[in-house]
Amino acid sequence: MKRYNAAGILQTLHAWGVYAFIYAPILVLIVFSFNQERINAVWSGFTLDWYLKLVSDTDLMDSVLNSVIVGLSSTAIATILGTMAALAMHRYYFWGKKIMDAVLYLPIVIPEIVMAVSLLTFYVFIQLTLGLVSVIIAHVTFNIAFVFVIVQARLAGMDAHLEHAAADLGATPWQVFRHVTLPYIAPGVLSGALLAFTISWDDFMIAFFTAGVGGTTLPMQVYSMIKFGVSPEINAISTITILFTMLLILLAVRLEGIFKTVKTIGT
Amino acid sequence: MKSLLRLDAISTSYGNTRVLNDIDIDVKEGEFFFLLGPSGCGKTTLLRILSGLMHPDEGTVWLGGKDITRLPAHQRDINTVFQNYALFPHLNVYDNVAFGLRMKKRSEPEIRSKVEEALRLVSLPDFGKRMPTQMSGGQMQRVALARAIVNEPAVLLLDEPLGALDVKLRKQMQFELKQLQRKLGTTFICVTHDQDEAMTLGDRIAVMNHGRFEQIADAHTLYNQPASHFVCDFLGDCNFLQAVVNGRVDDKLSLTAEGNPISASAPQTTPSGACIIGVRPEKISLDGSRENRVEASVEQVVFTGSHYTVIAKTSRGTSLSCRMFNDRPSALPETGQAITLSWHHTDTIVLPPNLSQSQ
Ligand SMILES: Nc1ncnc2c1ncn2[C@@H]1O[C@H](COP(=O)(O)OP(=O)(O)O)[C@@H](O)[C@H]1O
Ligand SMILES: [Mg+2]
Repeated sequence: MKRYNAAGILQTLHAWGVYAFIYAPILVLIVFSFNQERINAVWSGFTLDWYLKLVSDTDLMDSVLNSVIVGLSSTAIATILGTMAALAMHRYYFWGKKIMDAVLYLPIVIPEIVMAVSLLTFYVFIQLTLGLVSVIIAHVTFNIAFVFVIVQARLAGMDAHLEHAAADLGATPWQVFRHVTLPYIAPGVLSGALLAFTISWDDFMIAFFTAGVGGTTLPMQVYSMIKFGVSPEINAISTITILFTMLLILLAVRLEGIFKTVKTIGT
Repeated sequence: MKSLLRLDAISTSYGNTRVLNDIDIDVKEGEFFFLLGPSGCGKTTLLRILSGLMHPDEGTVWLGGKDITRLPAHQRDINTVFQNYALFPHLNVYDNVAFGLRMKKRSEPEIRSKVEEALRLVSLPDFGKRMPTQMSGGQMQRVALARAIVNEPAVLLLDEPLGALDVKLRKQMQFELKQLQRKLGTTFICVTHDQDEAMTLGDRIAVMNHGRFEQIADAHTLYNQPASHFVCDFLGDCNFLQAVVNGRVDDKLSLTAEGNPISASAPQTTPSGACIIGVRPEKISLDGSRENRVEASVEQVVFTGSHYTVIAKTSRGTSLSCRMFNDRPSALPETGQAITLSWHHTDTIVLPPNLSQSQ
C-alpha cells in the first residue's frame, strides 16, 4: 500500500523541476532538429533532411575531421604524458614535488580565456605558425591535467604492498609495472582518456584562439554558422554531438568515479 | 642444525629516527623463528630488510654464506606473507599463486602442478577461479601463504600472519601453520606482537623492544628466566617487587623485599645492590607453605573460567596477584582477609634494576 503526503509530492515535483530546468533547452533543440520547418518556432512535421544535409556540407565535414584529429592525437599524447607524470609523482620523491603537484592542476582551474590568451601569446612569441598542430598542443596542455588527476586518484587508492609483493615474488621492476601497476591503473587511464577526448571535442574557446588556417574545429564551425541564425542543421549536429559526448561521459563514469575527483579539485 | 640466515650488526633509520639498533640474529635451517615485540618496535622494518624491499644503513645480511645486503628483493630466494596479505585484486586465486613462477618464466604445466599442490597444502584445492574479494580473511590468508610457498623459498617471512583473524580462527591457523612448517621443513621467520602465538609456535623467539633485541631464546627460557624486566613483563603476567641483594649463600641468593627475606636461585654472576624480583602469579601459593613469604590482605577475587585470580595488597601498598585453578573453589579467601603469599626460591626471578621504566 502506497501512501502519499504533501512533502513527498513536493519533493518529487522539485526533482522533476530541476531536471526540466537543465534539460528542457536540450530537448527542444533535439526536437527541432527533426522539424521540417526552417524556423525554430513551429512544428510542421518530422524529417531527417537536416541530418542528410550535414553530410554534403564540406566545411562542416572538414571541421568534424579536424575535431577528430585534434581529439585523438591530443588525447593519445596527454594520456601517455599524464599517466607518466602521475606515476612519477606516486613513486619518487624529488625536490619541488609539492609545487609541481599543485601546478599540474592549474589548467583545470584557470579560466579558459586566460589559458587561450596565454597560449596564443606564447605561440606568437615562439613564432609557431597557427594551424591544426597549435590546437593539438594547446589541447594536450589541459588534457594532461585531467588525465593526471584521474590516474593519480587511482594510484592513491592502490595498496603499496601490491608492488612490494610482486617484487618479493621475483618480478623485476618492469614486470611489476606490466603485471601489477598497469592493470590496476588501467581503468583510470582509460577514463582519463575518455574525459580528455570529450573535453577536447567540446572546446571552443582555446581552439578559437589557437587555430590558424585549416585548423577549424567543429565547435568553431558551429559558431560561424550561427552568425547566420540557428538553423536546423546546427540543431542536428548539436544533437549528434550531445549524444556522442553523453556516451563518452557515461563510459568514463562507469570506469571510474571521476566526477568526485574532478569536482573536489575544481572547487 | 646449520646456520642459514645471519644478520650482523644491522642498524637503520627513517630520517633521524633510529628504528633498528645493532641487530644480530643467527637463524638455523628449518627453524620456526619468531620476532616478538610491541607495535612500532621495528619488526616490519626488519622483515623488509630481510626481504630486500629495504636496505639497512649499516650491517650485513648473510643467506647461506652469501652477502645479500644489497641484493634487490626480486633476486632473493626469500618470500613474504604480508601483514594485509596484499593479494593482487585483478587476478584470481590461481593466477595469484602462479605469479612468482610466471615471473620466473616456468612452463605452464610445471606451474599448474605446483600451484595445485600449493593450494592443496593450504586446504583450498578448488578455489583457483575465485577472486580475492570473494574470500574471507582466513581464506585470503591461506592464498597469501600458498602464493609464497609455491616458490619453494629458502626462507619464508610472515608479517603478523594471523593478526587480522578472530580468536577461534587464529588458534586453528596456528596449528595449521605449524603443521605446514613441519611438512615443508622451510625456515619460517614470523613477526608478531602476540606472545601467545610466539610461545605456541616458535622454536626460538627474539624479543624486540625499541629496535633492539632484549633476549633470544626458546619459550621456556624466556618465560622462566627472562633477561630483563621488559621480557618478563611482555611474556605473560608477573608480579614485581623492588628488592636489595644481601649476598650469596651456597647456591642461593639472599634478598630483602619490602622488609621480607626472599631467596632465589643464585645466577652465575652474583648481582649486588638494588634489583627487581618477579614472581609469576601461578607460582604463588596461598597456604603459606613455601619459603618466601609475604603478608597481604585480599583486595579482590576475579573469576575467569579456568582459574581464579586473587589480587592482594601488601602493607606497603604493592598489588600482587596469585592464580589458582578452578578445582577447589571452597578454598577461596574472602575480600579483606589477611593471607600469606608464598613461593619457592626457584620461582623468584631476579632482574636487573629497571632503568627504562617507561615501557
Ligand atoms: N616509512 C616510514 N617512515 C618513517 N617512519 C617509519 C616508516 N615505517 C615505519 N616507521 C616507524 O618506524 C618504527 C618501526 O615501524 P615498524 O617496523 O613498522 O614496526 P612494527 O612492525 O614492529 O609495528 C615505528 O615507530 C614507525 O612509526
Ligand atoms: Mg608491523
